[in-house]
Amino acid sequence: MSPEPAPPEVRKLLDDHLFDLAPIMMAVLDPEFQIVEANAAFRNVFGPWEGRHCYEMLKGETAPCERCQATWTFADGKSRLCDDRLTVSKGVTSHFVVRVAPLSTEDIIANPYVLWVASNVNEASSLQRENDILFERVPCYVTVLDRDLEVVRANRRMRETFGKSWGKKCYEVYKRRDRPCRKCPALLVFEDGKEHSAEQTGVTATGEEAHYIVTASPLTREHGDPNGKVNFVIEIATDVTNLRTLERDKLEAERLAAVGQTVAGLAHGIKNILMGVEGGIYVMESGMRKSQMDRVDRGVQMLKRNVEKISSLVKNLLSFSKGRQPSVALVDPNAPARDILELYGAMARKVGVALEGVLQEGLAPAPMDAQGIHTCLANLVSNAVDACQASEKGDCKVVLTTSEAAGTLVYEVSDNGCGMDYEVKNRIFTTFFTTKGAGGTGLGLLTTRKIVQEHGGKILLESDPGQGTRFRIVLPRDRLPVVTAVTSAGDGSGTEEGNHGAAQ
Amino acid sequence: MSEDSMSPKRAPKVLIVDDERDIVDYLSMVLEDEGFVAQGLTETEGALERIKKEGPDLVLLDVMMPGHTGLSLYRAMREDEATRAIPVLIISGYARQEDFAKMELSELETGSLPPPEGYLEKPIAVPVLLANLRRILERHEPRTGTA
Repeated sequence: MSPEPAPPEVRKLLDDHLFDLAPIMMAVLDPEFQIVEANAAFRNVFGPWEGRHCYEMLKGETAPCERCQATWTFADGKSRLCDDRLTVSKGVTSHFVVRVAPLSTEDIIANPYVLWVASNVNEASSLQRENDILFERVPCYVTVLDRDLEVVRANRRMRETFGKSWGKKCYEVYKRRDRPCRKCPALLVFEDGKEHSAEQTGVTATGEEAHYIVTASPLTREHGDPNGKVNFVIEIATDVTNLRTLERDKLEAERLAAVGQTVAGLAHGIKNILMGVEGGIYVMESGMRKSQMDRVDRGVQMLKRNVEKISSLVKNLLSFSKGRQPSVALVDPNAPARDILELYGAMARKVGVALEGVLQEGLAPAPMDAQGIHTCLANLVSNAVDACQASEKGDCKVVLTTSEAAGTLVYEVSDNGCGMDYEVKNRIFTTFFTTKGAGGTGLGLLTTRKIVQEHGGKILLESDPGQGTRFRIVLPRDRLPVVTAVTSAGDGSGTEEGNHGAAQ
Repeated sequence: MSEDSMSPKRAPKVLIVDDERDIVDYLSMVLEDEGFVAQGLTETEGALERIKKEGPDLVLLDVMMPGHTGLSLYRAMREDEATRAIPVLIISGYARQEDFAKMELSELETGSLPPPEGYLEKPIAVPVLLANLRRILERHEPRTGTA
């Protein structure tokens, strides 16, 4: 059963309303191009129309336009579509799509009027243009990927840096590899429909390394359903190569500065020993001159002691210079800490100092030179034990803590020993400074700092005389070195080249 | 033993402060061989009291030592009425003029701390040490003369 058609009066009412309510501009033209009827939208946009011609109102002309579409429609009765710039107010034009059609579906001669309908596309086209400019000119690499990770659109910067991308897989273009990267942010978006970011290293068309931070976002979903399967992903990548280069240069400069300080400190250490040697020679010679055997003997002892000092300095120097190429493997950050607690626990107890460990469980393996970190912790812990011994307090203890927060690993060695005053604090890292007189080489903290810097980290110090000292080794994970040795901690990722693998 | 240059007066007394026992022994021997009275200290703790008690004619001071550094001792000496006028000859393998220059900037500028009478860099050649000692002691003659 089809519903009853609406009565003719309703139909007419509807038609009248439609004419005036439609959000597009409508007018009826006679063969002289005079406007004989127009709707409210027309009046709103173009102004009062009564008694005027379309060409004067819409184009500011005094005669019909040369390629007037309505002329053709009057001639053949067919409707036409065109786009045109029309004057909306004094001198201001806008972009419209115009349709011209016979008013009557019957004979145009019998009923010689045309319906002129226009819609303003200015807004839409300028939005489109903005988008195009943004997409093309933004100083980022922008690609649109389909579910096969194929690039369906790439912007200018992308094409210029990575070469022709369209139709290729993203991993081919970005990284010259033949399979998707581990932890591919685009794949994650296709999986869970959420935005994902990653820092990656790629290879440009000219073979240079490019570091970039890429954000992948869902672009469109199946059937336009906001919860539907993502079928296209847009990837926007910011190039941080220069930043990374600067960071690397800075690290290198820090390392060089440490070497310079080491050399200056070394000169000081040697001068002191040299003076001891000269003293030994003087004492021995004067003893021989005066035939005082006890003096000769004293001189020989002085010489022996200073030769011993030189050999221990050289040994320390060797261990200091050793490992210019640290052997970096994925290790459990707690492993070196446990070793130290075991190694130094008994030694500390023997001198009446308690050594405690507070290790955060579940720290993920990190690329580190385990031996180097071991050396750092050994230096800090043995310093702390010494500080406790130098303190007059009875119950001294040393605490070794490991922790991680916000992607930064922290080793902390604190003691409640003698602490340091301002002058000592200022100098402990500067040279072969030692507060232990002949008992220290002044190399321990220097070595520690060197190793920490090689791990891209920092060593921080808080100390108050009489209160104790707290050293913290702060290692941001994103600055840790690249793995150079076969992994020993098995999380299965050791053989995978990871996101940086394609650089080679 | 030494009836040469200094014979008419009493032998000048020099106090050596250096944390290296060998260096203290060596310098003491050199100075005694040259007719000085030499005393040595290997730590700065209690050094100021000792200086006051002994009243040396000159202090040979290493500026880099454990605990309170030589610099602190120097400052303490200059701030103490009893030791202010005793000339100081700084010895060190490191941190000579630069460190004192820094002190000069912050403290000597106020006029309260005079600079040390001399600096010697380790290792010190014996003739250089003696020449410097004699030069400083001669300049401070009036003080020893009153003794």
